[in-house]
Amino acid sequence: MPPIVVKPPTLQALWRSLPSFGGARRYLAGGTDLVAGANAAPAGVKARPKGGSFDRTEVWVDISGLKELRGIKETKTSLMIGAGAKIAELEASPLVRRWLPVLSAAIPHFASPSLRNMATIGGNAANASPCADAVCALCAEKAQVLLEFKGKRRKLALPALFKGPKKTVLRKDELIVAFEVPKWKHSGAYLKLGPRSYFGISKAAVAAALEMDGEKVRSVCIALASVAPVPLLAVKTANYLCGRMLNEENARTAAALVKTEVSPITDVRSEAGYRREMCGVLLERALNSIASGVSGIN
Amino acid sequence: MGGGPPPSVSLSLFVKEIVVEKNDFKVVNKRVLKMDSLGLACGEPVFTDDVDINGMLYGRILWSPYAHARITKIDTKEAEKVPGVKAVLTYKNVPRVPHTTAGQGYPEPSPYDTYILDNKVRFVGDRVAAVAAETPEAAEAALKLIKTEYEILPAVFDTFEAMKDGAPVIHDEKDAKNIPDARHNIAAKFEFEVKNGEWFKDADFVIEHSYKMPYLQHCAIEPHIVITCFDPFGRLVIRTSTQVPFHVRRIVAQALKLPVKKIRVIKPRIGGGFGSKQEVLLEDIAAALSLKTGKPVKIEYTRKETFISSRTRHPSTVRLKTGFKKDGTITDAEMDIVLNTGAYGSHALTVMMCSGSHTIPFYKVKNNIKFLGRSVYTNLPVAGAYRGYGATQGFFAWESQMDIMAAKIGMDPVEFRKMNYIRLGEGSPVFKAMGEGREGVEQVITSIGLYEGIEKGLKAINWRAKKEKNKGGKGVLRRGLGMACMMQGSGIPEVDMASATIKMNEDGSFNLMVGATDLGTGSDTILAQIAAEVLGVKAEDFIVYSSDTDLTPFDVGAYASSTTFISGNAVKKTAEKVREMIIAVAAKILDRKKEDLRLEGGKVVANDGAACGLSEVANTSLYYYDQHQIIASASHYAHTSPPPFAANFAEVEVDTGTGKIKILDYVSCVDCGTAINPELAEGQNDGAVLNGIGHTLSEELEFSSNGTPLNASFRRYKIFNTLDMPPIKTFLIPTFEPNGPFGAKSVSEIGINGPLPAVANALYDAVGVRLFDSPFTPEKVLAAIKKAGKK
Repeated sequence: MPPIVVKPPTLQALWRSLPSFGGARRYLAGGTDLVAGANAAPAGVKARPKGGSFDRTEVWVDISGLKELRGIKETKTSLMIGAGAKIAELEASPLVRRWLPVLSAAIPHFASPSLRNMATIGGNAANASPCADAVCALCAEKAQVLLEFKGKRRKLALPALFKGPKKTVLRKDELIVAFEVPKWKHSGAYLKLGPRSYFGISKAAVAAALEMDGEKVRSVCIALASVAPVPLLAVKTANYLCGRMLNEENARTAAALVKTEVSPITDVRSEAGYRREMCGVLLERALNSIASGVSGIN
Repeated sequence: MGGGPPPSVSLSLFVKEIVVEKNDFKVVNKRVLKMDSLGLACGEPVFTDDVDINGMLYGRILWSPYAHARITKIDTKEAEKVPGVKAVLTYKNVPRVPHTTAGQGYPEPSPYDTYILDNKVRFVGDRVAAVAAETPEAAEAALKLIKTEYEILPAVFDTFEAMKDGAPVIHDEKDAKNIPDARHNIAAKFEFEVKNGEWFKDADFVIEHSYKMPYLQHCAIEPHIVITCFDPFGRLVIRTSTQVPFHVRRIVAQALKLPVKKIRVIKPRIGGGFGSKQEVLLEDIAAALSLKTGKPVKIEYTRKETFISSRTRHPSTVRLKTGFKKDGTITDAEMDIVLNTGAYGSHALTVMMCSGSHTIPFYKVKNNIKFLGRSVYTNLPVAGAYRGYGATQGFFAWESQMDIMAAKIGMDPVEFRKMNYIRLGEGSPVFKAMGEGREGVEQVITSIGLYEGIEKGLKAINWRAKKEKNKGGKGVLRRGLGMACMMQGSGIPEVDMASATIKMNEDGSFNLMVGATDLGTGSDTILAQIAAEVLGVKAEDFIVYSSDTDLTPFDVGAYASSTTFISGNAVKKTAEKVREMIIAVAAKILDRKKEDLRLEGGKVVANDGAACGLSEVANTSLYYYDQHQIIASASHYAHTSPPPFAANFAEVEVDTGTGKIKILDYVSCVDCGTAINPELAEGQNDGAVLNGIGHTLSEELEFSSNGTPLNASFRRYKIFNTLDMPPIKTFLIPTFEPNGPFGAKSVSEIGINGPLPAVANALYDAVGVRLFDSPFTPEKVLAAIKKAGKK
């Protein structure tokens, strides 16, 4: 950790005091990426997590005390999830369970129970990892993200937040304050292929949210993790499925289609070809599981 | 059904006979509580790092960024100016003594190819320089200010490339010793042949395959750590997380040119070793920093350093060519193993020898046997001892090939193994030919419970019914069953030695001082059980102190599955001597003949019922009559290394869509003779199996094209944890090993050898594809399934 960590009591105090914090600064929420990355840095061997290079002169602004970022609230049309909500809170939330089936299915895949107790949903998005399970699930839930800078707010579709691995469109000092997730009558699935049973970053993951209109698909949103530089929406595949029957044949076609939408790489976790292939396999299974009324099995 | 009970009925009778005696055990073969468990669970400060010494400095090491380079210039002036920095060491100011870091008996069979610091670096992560400073931050700052210029040399990462003429020579230094062929980077080499006629003449079929394993790390919870300081007489005290305290003392003395008497090594509690701490890894450099500064110095590895700059399993390529007949007779076996020892030859010879000596004798080979082993230097991290010690690499090949051979002749793989495994009373020319650094020792099998183990395992996993059920499996998820059998050793015969001292106290308690090294294994507890059994007392009547070169007698240390068998025998002998001394005193007290007395329930009891308590005996000897301390020492070294045997069974479910293997059930039946403490023995085996499952499905240390490790962290190198643990069932199969203490053999290593071949065989059973290189990742499995589908 750097020598200076400041903890403003309110959002207003944060905006007021921000200019006095010196040049390089960074928000600290749950700390599961930031602190772990910084701890790994002074190891003697050059070890810095990607994009998480650690500068001892920077100031960390601890936002974990900000009440404005907390809570999960229900409005008539959506859920408002505070950026400071811990993953474990989402896990325990009846609202999340009721309205967000994809996110509910994804949370058990999110790191480990102890990390879920610390990590926040805002931090998960700000870290901008293409592998982030909760972010990928929220993308499929059609979430929007609310950003604020000195009281000025703007709203983006969540996928638009990401520019590349560890890169977002957040401007200097701009803060993620909440996620607005629409309430719609959908089923969902989150299927992840990781290196072991749990606590591993995915080789590939598929999040699918689907609303039916009788036998046909009324609305569908598919997001994928670890197979592109950013959490990816499979728009073409979703368009294909929309208005069609949800059956095995269409699932197979969708699976073939989704493979053309992703751009995976070969790295230490898996191979590009395998990842592409798995996008198809996982999507087909996700769609079939939704069709058979079982959501979120893996 | 072939098989049936093997022609070793006499063994069964023998076992039955012993069982009667076994039932009489009072302390041994009981689930006695591990004596340090409560303290460890409550966080008592018992580990190396749990002491603070006034004025302690922090040591840090500068690591090579290059795989192969010569240091042309190294300037430490700026580093020395950093406030708080007390010493900077380079090759220029430390003694240059070629030695090995392998903690083995003297003279070590590993080449002397290592220096405290050298003017050449041989892998990414090799030592360049070392700093001691008052704070870790100052030490880090100093490392950055060491100016080093390198002449970068061509590097070689592949063992077969490294052996070619004209390959970069990694050990071109003139003063290295015992490198058989430095020009071809061969750190160790051994050839052996038994020839009874023409090769493969009697064979109906000949099969040849190569099996590969990658770099693997031990991942002990506690990293390597050492604190060096001085006692009031100016002697160097080394407090270290080690498996081999006595070898540490000797090798540090050698490397730093100190007399052995100037060094004391203390081993506190250890957070796991698995072979990585059978190594003098940090003690030499910490000691050099202490000698330079006159101050205590601590060096602790980070996890990343543990991955890169400690030790690993030897990556291997085993080519196995076997000839066999339609009736199941194995006629010929040719095993050719090439091990990658990395930049230095620690354990280079002995791991290679064990890959053959623990595997080839396991099955009868009728005519010809050939073994060719080479350990080869490359510019990659240094391999060393790792649980299984070559046998893991060897059995992957052998036990996969056993299934391939059985399939070829249409024989049940279980029956094929039953027909061929070594029987009671049988030996092998390999035992004599292949030792560890010297010739081996002729031996025959004196206890074996493998038949019972196989039967138990078949039943426990419900082999036959499941085989029937899985037949002609269709659909995305396919199930399969596989098995593997194996053996290991119990210490190194006529090499390993252990000793113990027992001293009696007034209240009838005893001090047990052993050189044996408890790494968390529970050896302190089981050694107390053995002594307690002899002396008719409880295990908790012993105060055990282990592994302090000033205060305990010698022991080679915890490796080669030796502690229960070798150290256990030393303790038993010592306790027997003490028993004689107690009886001599009690004979006077009770006025009975010595031969009429026995120790039982904390008393000396005469045949006629007269008795006296042990505290009376102790007080008499200490204060009243013919005063003397009841104390004795004894040593043990063995002429044989009785193998434990095991049969492992795996049921897997293969996802043919993703290539993912899920282990549904795992049964491991182990014949470790008498389990001195069944609870601890089962724990050892469960841990070894899970460790092996990690090897099988997940673990592999990967490198970039310039030799830089890519996944040297728990974020990227996935070991399996509780949630990945399939239902592992360990069954101890009791036999009685006549050469072991109360019938015991070893248990610590054997379990790791099973999962790789058992799962390979189960994968084949499920989907008809065979993998020859571990780990069996979903990517590889799926590719193999697709390839097989196209044919």
